[in-house]
Amino acid sequence: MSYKKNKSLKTKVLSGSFLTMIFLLGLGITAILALRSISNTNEWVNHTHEAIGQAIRVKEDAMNMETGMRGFLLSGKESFLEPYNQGLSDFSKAIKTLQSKVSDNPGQVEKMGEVEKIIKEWVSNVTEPAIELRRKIGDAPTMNDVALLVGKKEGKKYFDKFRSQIGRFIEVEEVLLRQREAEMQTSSDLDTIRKNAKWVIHTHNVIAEARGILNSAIDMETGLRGYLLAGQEEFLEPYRSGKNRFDTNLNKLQETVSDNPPQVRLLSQAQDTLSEWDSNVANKMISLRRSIGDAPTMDNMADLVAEARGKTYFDQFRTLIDEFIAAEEKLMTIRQSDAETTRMVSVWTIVVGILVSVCISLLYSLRLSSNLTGHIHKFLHDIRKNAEKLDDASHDLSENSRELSGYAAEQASSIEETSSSMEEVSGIVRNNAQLAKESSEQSYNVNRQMAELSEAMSKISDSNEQSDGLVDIINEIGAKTEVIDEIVFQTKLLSFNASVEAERAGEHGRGFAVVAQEVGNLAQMSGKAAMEIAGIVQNSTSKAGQIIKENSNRVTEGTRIVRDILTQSETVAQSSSKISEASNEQSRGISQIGIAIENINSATQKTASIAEDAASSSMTLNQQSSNLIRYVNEMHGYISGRVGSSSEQDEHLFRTENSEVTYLDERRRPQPTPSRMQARSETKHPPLRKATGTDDLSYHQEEGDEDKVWKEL
Amino acid sequence: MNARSLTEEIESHKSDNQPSQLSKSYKKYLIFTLDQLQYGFPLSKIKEVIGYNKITEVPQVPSFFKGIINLRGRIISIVDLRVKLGQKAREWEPKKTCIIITETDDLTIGAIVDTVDEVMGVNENEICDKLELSTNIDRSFITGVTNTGDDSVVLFLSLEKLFSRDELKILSSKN
Amino acid sequence: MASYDTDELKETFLIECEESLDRTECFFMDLESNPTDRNIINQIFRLAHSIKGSAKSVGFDQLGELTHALEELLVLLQNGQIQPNQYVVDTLLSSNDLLRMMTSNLREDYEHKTDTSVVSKRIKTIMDGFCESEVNSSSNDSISDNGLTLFSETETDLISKRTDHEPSKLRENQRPMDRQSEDKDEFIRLSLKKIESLIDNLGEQVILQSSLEEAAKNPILNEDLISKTISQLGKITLDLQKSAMALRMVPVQSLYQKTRRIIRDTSRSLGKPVEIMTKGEETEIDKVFVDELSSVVSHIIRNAIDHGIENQEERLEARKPERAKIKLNAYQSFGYFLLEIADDGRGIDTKKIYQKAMSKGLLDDQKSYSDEELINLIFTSGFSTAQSVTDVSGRGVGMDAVLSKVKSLKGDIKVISKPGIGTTFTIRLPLSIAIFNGIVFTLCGDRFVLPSTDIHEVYWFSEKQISRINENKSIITRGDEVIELVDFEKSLGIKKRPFNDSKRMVSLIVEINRKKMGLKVDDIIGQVRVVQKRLGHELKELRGVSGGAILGDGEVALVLNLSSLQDDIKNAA
Repeated sequence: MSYKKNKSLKTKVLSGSFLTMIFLLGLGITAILALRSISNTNEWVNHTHEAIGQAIRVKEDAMNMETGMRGFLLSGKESFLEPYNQGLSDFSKAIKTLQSKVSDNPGQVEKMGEVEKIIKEWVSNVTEPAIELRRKIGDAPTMNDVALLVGKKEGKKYFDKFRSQIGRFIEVEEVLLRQREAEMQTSSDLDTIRKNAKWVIHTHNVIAEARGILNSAIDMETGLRGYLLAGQEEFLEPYRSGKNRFDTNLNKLQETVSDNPPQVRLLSQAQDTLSEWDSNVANKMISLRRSIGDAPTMDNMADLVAEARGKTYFDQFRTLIDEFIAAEEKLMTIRQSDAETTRMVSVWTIVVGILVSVCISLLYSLRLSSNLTGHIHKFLHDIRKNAEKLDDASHDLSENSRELSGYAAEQASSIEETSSSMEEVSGIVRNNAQLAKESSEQSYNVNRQMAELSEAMSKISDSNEQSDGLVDIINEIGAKTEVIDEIVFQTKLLSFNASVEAERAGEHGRGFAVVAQEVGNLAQMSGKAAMEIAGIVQNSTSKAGQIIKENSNRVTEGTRIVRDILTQSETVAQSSSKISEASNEQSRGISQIGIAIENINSATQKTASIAEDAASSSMTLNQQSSNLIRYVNEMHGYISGRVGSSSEQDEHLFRTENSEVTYLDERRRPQPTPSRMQARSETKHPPLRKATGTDDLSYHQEEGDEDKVWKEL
Repeated sequence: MNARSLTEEIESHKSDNQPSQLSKSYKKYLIFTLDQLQYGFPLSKIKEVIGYNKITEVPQVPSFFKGIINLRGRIISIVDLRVKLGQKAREWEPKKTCIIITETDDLTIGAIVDTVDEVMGVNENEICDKLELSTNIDRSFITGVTNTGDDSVVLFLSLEKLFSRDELKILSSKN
Repeated sequence: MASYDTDELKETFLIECEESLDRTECFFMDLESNPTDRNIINQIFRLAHSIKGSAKSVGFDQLGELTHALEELLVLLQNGQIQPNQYVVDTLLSSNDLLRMMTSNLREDYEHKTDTSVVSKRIKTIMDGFCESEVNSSSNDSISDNGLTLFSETETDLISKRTDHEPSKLRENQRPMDRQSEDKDEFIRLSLKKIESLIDNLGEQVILQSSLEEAAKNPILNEDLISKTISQLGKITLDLQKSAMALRMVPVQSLYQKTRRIIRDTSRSLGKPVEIMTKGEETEIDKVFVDELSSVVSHIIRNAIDHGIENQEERLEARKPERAKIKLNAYQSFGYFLLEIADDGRGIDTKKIYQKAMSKGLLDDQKSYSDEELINLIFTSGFSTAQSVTDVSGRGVGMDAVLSKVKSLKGDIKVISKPGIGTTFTIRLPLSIAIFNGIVFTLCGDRFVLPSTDIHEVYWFSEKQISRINENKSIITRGDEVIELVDFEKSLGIKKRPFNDSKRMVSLIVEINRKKMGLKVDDIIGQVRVVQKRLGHELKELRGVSGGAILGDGEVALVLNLSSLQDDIKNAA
């Protein structure tokens, strides 16, 4: 068999088993079917038995009913109706059950329906009326009941109560009466006597009335008793009249003794008592007696029974039941024979089925196992081949990584060179920067000196300002002279006034006149002086102004020169700073280069380490591939059943393992090796041996190459 | 005149034992200027000389009557002397324009003058009262003239005439 | 003794003497009414004695001698050896007058010699004739009724001379005093109480002053204290002012006393007995007024006795009491001093006035004049309905002088007369012209003061309320009221224009002739306590101006007087 044609192994196996299972299943089904029909038949047999049983029970129920009914009719006791009632309900139930049981047989069902109908008719036409009648008789009250009721002496209870109430009432009144009589006797006052007399009479009347009421009540009782005995309405006359009299008189009496509330209450109580008696006892008795009047008796009963209607119904009933039973029994026999047949068939089916399925499954499993083994061998062979390929690949890998290491080393050395030349350049740049800084410092010095000069100039300016201040002061003086002028004027006036006063004083004022004159002179002199001061002030002010102006000019000139120098030095400073900047730029550039070199360096380093890793990985790979080959061999052994048989194959495999082990222990530094290209070409692979008769010759060469390479390294 | 000459004069006068004569021949005047011309009031009739004062105007009065002022609790009427003498009124000049408070038997009047110059003592014989003057001032006011040192004249005025009741007559409402 | 000292003594004596002579005059007149009162004589004696003594001691011999003679007469009276009959009393009064004259002469000239012959003679007559007193006593008694007939010619001459003298003497009495008021000092008797209160106030002021000085050392800290002290000072100053002013106030009693003599003499000379009743003697009046008014009052009284009071027969016919009554009543009212001089004579005949006026051409015959107007004509110069000119009055120069005098005191004079009943002259003078409350307002940019008592109300109004009646007259309406609006500046004769702020205008509501008028002014500055100062004499003719007021800022504002402006206001309205 080839790979392409085969379906999956799973399918094959499954399909085989499936087939077997189907067979088994078939057998099973058959068996079950047979069993079923047997049981079915059994059921039917049972069923028929049951139906029969049920029919009998129905019969029984009907019997019960009749019995019960009769019993009741006789005794009139409800307890006797129990079997009847029970029977009735059972009967209906039973009928229904039976009907359902024989539902397959409509004829039987119909029969049962008929049965039911008959019984129902019997019940309604015969039993029910009889029971009715009996009941009537039974419920009907008789004189015995009356006697019983009377015997209960309920009426007595009420009447005693009533009597005592009235008695009490009368007692109280008598007490009052005696009281009043006593008062009447003791009192000497005519009015009181008269009043009391009135009261005495009143009380007597009251007592009489009370007695009258009692009498009316008694009348009522008498009347009632008469009626009970006779049963005739006219006997109720005294009862009724007595009642009326009682009510009216009582109310009247209540009014009369309205001054004595407890008495009134007492009367009401008496009234209540009587009404109770009336309703609870009297009326009851009256109605009882009335009902007795037209009640049915046992004679009626006997008549009814004699009609013997029940019998017809029952005979019909019996016949039907019997028929029903017979039908059922017939059915049962048929069913039983069917069951037997079915059993036989099923047994044969089972036996045959088992045999067939066993054969098929045997055949199938043989085929399957052989198929499987073939495939597995093929797989193993393929695997082995691949493992060998893998081995070769790993060898290649290690070669490559060695080469890579070599390159990395070269790179590193060239980087070193570059780095040192960069250092030189850096040194030159630094020099430049230094020079630029120096020149900048120079210009800074110049600036400083200029600033000093400027300061000196401004100082001159300040002094100018001060001179200005002086001018202000002088002006102030000028202003003050104004004040002095005013003072002079006032002094002048003063001198005039002094003269005037002196004149007035006449002789005595002569001396004062001199003083006045002097004051006047003084004023004049002050005036002159003030004017002179003003003049001087004027002069000084203008002179000061001049000086200030001159100074100002000089300062302006000087400031200008200073400014020029400053500008120039500014320029110098600027240039040098430019230089500085440029050198900085250079420096920056250099350092950037340095960084780049660094980066390259580290990359190189990384490369080297990667190469290392690769080398070690390839080692591992090698290892794995040889492992794989070994496993394959093992598998092969399992499948073919030859453990450690084929010598060629096994030896080769072992050999490969050993060489791999020695290499893996060492670690190497990357070195520039020109011979790496060479090494590549000499890579060889160990040959792969076939597993079971397959055409894989292409592997041989490779095997051999690899072997050589490993040794060299 | 300076202090020395005055002192000499006083000394010379003191030696005189006729004080009344002195009082007759030698009189003092207050010299003031109006419109560049100098005038004089007899010092005995002067109460006081003051500077500027706020003048309250008065109705029903002639134009030369400037108004009234408060002088130490006393109300004095003020007259513009320029206007009274028929000249044009002038603006007040601080430190120059003064008011001369004159006091006669009848009235106390203040006169506004341009400047007050000095107190001058003059001998009676130096006063000339018959001079022809080219002035448009009412002659009745002038009592005499004298020469000052520097070739100018001083006109002496009579207060009684100048500030008599008639002169100062307030116009009645009928006008 | 230095001359200086003696002069002072003399001066003092003369002043005291005058005072004493005033009193003795009163006493003499009292004596006339109460001849039997010994007390009076005693008092007179005491006064005379002291005068004599002092006069001699200061060297006024003549005075002393005359007083001595008088004393002797008084001794006789004291002893009861002579009775103070009319002649005696007259003599006493004449001596008093003479002494007065001497005193005033001496005040002028310490050496003055007065002619005492007449009076001396009289005294001598009495002294000599006291023996004959009993003979003459009976006739003397009847002298009191009709003094004229009993007098001898010489005496009549004397009287007439005296009456001649009287006015002149009186005038002399007045004139020297007037003059004195100008150049010599006046003297007043002061109640010690007034002086004390003044001194107390001054003391308080000094204390407050020093407290202020102290507080001013630290003005910011003591701000409150300073203001308090200043307000206290203000109060004290006010009190001081009042006290000082009060010093000048004298009871009008002195005026009464002066007039008493006049009345007596006039009634005597005219033969109309007059009873004088005075009321309100204690009413105080400025001393100045006393002097000024005495002539006025005298003249009025003389006029009343002369023209107003009927002679005895007429009085009897008219069923008037024999002795005419002249009542003098002085009282103060609404810032004014009022003096009523009432007689129960025949009243002023307006018809006569009318005729006289017509004859003089003073009235227009087309117009009708009210009684009031006619009566007021008596104040016109040269007007007199007197049939004849008596010595006393009738020259017609009196009443106008009276009016002008009263006016010069810023007062007025009213005459009420009922024919057959009598005439009452009421002189009204403003009190305390010196200090008052006034409203300061501006008009045409200048400030003026109007006494608060003259102002009814200050009323602000808007242009809307003005209604022009004609080109001169406008009114303002205020509710139901209509008030005539007056351009005040025109009444005052201000030539400038008022500063008009149309939004708010203000007017001073015043009452003129019982009519309300509104004087329109620029603005109201406020109310001030005004010290009024006199203006110079040169401004005496100013209409409507009663003086000047010095305001808080030291400047002067004119104080206006409505009564003198009334005519102008009416014309300007």
